[in-house]
Amino acid sequence: MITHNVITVLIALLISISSAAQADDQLNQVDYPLISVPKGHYTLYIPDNNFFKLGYLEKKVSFDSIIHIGKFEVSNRLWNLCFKLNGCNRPVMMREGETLDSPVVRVNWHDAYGFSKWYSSYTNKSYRLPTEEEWVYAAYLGKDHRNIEIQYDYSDLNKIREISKKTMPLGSFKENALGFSDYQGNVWEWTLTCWYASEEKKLKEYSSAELNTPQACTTRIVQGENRSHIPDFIMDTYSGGCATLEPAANLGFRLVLEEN
Amino acid sequence: MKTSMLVLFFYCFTPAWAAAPVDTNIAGASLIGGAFNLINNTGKQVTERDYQDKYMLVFFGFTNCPSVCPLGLSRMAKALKKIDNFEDKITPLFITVDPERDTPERMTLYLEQYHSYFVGLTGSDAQLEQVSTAYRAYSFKSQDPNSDSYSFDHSSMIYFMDKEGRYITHFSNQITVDEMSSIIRKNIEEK
Repeated sequence: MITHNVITVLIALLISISSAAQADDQLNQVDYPLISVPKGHYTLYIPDNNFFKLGYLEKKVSFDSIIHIGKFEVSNRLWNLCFKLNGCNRPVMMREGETLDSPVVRVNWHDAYGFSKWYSSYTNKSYRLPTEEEWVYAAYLGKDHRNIEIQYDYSDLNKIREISKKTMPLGSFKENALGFSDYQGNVWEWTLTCWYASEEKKLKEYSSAELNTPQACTTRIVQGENRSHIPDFIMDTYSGGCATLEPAANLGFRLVLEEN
Repeated sequence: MKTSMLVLFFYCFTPAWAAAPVDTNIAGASLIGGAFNLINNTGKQVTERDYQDKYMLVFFGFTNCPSVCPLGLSRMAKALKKIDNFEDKITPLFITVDPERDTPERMTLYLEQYHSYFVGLTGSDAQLEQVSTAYRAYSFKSQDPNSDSYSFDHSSMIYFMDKEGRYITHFSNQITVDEMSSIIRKNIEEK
């Protein structure tokens, strides 16, 4: 009986060592590259639209330190590592033709938040979702972002995108001047920023710590090809009946590394 | 952001964010639902406990809603009619986001178009905000600056809750009536 127990423990130990080694290998494969955005300031134009008017609220935003934002959205490969190490509650759900190098999609805000917590723990660094202010600053380079579309060279990919909601491998939608990829691909990205009905709250400054909790609010801002507000448990969006502008084809996310 | 898209958006107005049916294992599911204290369309004060012997279908909307609410309620009614004696098993709830206009009487007249068993719920602004937050729904009143007219931007999914008021899943406009009734029936029969 004792021998049997010893063998069982040894096997478990070997499996554990093997899993750890495998995970280390996987980590090497799923490095999450970051781009540093210089400190600065700009005006965030928040759509102040309703049934009767179109307009923007103007919010002055300044960054006193460098921001480190993911060059890409989080990939299926990275999400699967999280799942394998029990940090995420399910494996990725890929459609035919999608690969592990595509962004993970069909995730709600809680999934993205949970992943950021797991990845922080795994890397012993502090990762979180970007605020809308950070996202827009990095995407539009601090320029006036009203009524413009980022001038990416979609070339043939645009045609593919028009006929398919399927994700493309990371980097398929080219880079902006800072080197960020896929900011306006067919994945819209969750942010930390809460949606509020009141103008006062829309313009109020919230720290990332205030927003980086599920208790902060129930509807979050999503950024991408367009901007929207989506209840935090939604994993897919769609256009139904008398619905939105161009809906998000997919919901995904990228991360920010906090310096401290 | 293309202006043309914005115009389209606000012509049609109500965003209809929702999702395909999912299982209860989604992250954050346990945060959906909870206690409420409201007035039903007969004028009676009710809480979530009044409905806990049955499953619930919950929809947030308003009776002046031009398209999304009629579509959602119509689909709810059609799905329920495919379930034998649904009245014994499920309570469909319509929670208004427009308490100013949606009096109990008005909601009764409105909901009878879909099914007499539908329950309308209203309350004070604070009570409605509380239940909206509990269901992680949202609404936003848009006032016409040139008249008394107003409308609402609001979320439009149909929540399917169990007998204890716990979230099972939600339905979007994307899912067919047959799929919706099938998921409801399956959950009722399994429990």
